[in-house]
Amino acid sequence: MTSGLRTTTQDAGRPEYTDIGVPIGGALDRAAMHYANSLVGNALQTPVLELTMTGPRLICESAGKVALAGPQFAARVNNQSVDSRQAIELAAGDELSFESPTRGVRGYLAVEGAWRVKRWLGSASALRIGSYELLASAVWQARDVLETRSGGVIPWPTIVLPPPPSTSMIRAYRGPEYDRLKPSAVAQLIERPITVVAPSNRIGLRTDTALSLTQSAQSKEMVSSGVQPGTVQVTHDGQAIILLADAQTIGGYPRVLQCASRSIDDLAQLRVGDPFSLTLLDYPTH
Amino acid sequence: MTAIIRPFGDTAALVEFASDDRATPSAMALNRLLRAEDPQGIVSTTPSYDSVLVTFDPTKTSYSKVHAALVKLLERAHPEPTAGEKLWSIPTCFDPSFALDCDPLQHELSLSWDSLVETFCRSEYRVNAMGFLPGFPYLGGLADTLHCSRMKTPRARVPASSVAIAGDQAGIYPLDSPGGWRILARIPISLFNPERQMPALLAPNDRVSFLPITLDEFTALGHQRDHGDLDIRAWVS
Repeated sequence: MTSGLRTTTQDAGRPEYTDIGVPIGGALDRAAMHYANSLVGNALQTPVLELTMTGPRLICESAGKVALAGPQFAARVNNQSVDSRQAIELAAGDELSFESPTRGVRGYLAVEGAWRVKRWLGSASALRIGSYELLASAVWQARDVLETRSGGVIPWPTIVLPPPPSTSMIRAYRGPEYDRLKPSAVAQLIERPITVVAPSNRIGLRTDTALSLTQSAQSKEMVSSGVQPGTVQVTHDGQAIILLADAQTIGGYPRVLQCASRSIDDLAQLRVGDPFSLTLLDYPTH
Repeated sequence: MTAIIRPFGDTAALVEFASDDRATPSAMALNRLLRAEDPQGIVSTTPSYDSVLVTFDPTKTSYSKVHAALVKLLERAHPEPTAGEKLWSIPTCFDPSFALDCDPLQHELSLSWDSLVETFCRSEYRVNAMGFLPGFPYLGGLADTLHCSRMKTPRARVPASSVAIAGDQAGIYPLDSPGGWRILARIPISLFNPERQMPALLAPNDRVSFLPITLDEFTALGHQRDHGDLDIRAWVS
């Protein structure tokens, strides 16, 4: 009925196409996607709706099960609060709406069954490049209808634990160009409060940092090389940017840190203005 | 082959080749082998110039297993100049209405437009990497006399299918996009079409040459394209 701020279909994205420059994409908070799918008995990477801050209002056309995950998002059925920690049974005609979270950014709504949605390069995920929507039908508009087919999904055989509460303590490893940070820059970046600033989006989080790089890094342009979600790059003017799922696939800025895979879900829930800190992890010895 | 393998976070390995003229063909050869043999648990492989980024699923494999698989593949990742690559001859229109940087380029490079176009079309280029935008090829092989600066302030909108140069590289914009490279021509086809089975026309390691055409020929090819009877198979060998 209404679409919310930005409601998109997301799944595990398109990791097989990074060699032709297509971003990996997919749900930003993977643990939340997996958990919501497990509650309705779907395979963990079945598409979900990714809600952004303000969720949509939805009408259920035939009975079925849905589940919601994501920090502080809560569901209402026919304007009554329901327990959002378990699957929600809906009857035909029920109206599903969402309470906006006081913290966090993204919620995930799983709907029981196999999704009958358009896919591109093997994924149902919306992907926006500049002003292009490369899979426009994955961006939800008022009056769009989702069809699912029961029985088409093989449930995940293991128990999925609820994601831990999201935290603003982000763990990271040294990146390939960590040595280009001056000692003063390390002191500003590690174990110090950092704030997310605008513009931040599914491509990446910008920060209120001004870091100094070593002389050689300033004089010599780096040859572009692969980046991934969670890569911390430092731009020429010293700003640390943390890349997220829709970022480009290669980059020419020094990659000073790489966030731990389990911290990437927490990055997905940081808002502009939120403080966080980076903790340095050591690589295990091999 | 001289290559360093090291962890890049807890779910990726980065393979870096010694920077010489064998680095890019070696990176492409390793990428081809990785995609052909698809070792257990590999999620993505991203080749670029002198490196390959390999990400993996830690529930299916581990860094030490990926490292061991890469060491084995590197023994066989010999750059073969003709393996699996294509040579494209792309009709390209250098009309001033498309060459948005016609004047500044002539001024910066101290070349007439005719000799600039002739020099550009005499070289053969190679796709060293794809990125920035889906389907954007970074082309190596630009003649020394055409090395040029980027725009101080990038354009808000470079039209799709524009051919551009910056530094020692050439590129082709697959989509309308902001961009700071110097625009010298346009091609009559789209490099990236989400509706195609393989959406990107070019692939890493492909070779590309540009064939100058007139504005009338460009318009005629555009009509063929819009009516679905443009056969681009003739452009590739």
